[in-house]
Amino acid sequence: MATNLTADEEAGWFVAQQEQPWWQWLLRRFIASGPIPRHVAFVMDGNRRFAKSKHLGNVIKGHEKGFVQLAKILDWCNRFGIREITVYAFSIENFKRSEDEVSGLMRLAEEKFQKLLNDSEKLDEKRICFRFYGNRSLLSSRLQKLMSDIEKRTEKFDGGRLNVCMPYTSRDEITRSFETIRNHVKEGKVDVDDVSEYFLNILKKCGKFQINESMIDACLDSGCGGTVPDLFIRTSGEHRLSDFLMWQAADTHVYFDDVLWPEFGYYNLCKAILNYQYYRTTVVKISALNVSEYDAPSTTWKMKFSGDDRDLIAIKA
Amino acid sequence: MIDVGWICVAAVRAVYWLVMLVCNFLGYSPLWAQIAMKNRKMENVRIRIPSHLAVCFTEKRLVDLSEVIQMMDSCVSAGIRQLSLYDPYGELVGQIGQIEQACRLFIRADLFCDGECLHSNGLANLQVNVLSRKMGKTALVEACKTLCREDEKITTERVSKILEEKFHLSDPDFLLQIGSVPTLCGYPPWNLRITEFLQSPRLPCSRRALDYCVEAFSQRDIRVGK
Repeated sequence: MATNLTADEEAGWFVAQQEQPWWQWLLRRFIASGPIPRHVAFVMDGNRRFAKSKHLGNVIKGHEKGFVQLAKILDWCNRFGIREITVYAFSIENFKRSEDEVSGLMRLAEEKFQKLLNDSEKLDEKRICFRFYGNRSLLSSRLQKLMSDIEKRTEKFDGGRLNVCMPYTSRDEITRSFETIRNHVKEGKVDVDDVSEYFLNILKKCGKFQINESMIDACLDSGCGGTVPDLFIRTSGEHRLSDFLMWQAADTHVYFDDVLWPEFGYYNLCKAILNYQYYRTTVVKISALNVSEYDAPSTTWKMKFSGDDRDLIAIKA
Repeated sequence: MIDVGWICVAAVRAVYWLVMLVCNFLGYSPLWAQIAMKNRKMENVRIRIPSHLAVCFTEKRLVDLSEVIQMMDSCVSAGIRQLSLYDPYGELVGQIGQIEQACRLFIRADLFCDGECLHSNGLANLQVNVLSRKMGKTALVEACKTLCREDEKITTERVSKILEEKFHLSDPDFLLQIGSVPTLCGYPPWNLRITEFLQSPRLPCSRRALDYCVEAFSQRDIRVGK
């Protein structure tokens, strides 16, 4: 492990920027000589199994350990120069769990988000932009307010980006994106019907555009300044996506590790990045197959956002 | 008189005892014990046949028509009901005529290519769905267009229904990534919600190789959020 953390650091989002042990420094220098993923997505699986195997007495203790590990991993990723991280914190499907566990998780989230807002000095020092993906209407009003405050507070920060998915499923995200587009169609800003090239040009002149992949991308939660992940990591030996970033990770390098999330250490992160480096060129070539004549969008779209306001704009026609 | 046979038996037993002692000391089980343990483990695992098996070719050199046809045959005998073959390189779509012929003559299977029904037999044991890159995000764009023409609110159930009806896309239980490249190559993303993945260096076309994959699937723990 990188450092022995103080109780205050254990409770917080940022661990101290101390000197790394020599072997970590050496490994980092060696690995950083190759390409480093810009965006890594994590499925933080295995907290409950960790609590059971270590006899912690309560599954929430396992989630707390998982959070401490997340703070360490954020620090390691920052040192590697990874600019964006997305974590799957809570799935909409997780509401099926016992009431005790769900309320415990919500309490933990409230505590951590409040702690983040209170840590003003650290926030200004690290300059990390926090975004929340998912269907927030399923959460308590207090949590929604905290999330909104964090987003507003860190909106202009450019030191990196952390996307927290809570409560999230990819299908829900895609469906909400479709619904946003349908509302634009109803308002007459977007045209649905397939038309000939001649009529398409006329529609463009009128400021009406057709639905394409880029428009769906822009209307997703990740459309507000997020990028596609280069590396998708899942811990705990499960080999499935579990409804996480299915649209965004369709062409991504997917890496599965057998260790439980609280045991996902520096060595495991290095292994994942080395694996990414080994297959990077091949994965990029395969994803480039996508750009055929059929797929190439005639118009690209962007979601302009400020606070809770969203505006879909065409940036190239 | 010394009994030579008795000495041989005693020597074999002594060597065996020594090997056991060393193995126990080193923490390794002897080979027979490993096999017995594996068999016992398999006896405790209930074999679950995936109703819908998907195959995703991550390397072009591994797309082989004869192996694909052999695998379709193995799927029929294993009791798999639906087989989706996703080839991002478009090789299988290019050879769809030969696959159709095999479905008609040798294997009692219905054949769909990019959502279009090419051959259907009321008595078919297997549904084969050949998918190209077009069935990835592009199919979802088309689904979005269809849903945006209607007045009703869009829900996940309606998206799934449109994909099923229009493109014959449904959720596979198990996906085999053929080749060593760890990516999903743009496989239709909507349908991978709880699909289990297994990476295989080549297509498990024989019945024995397919059974090995089914065993691996049976050992997976599927929780769906719980």
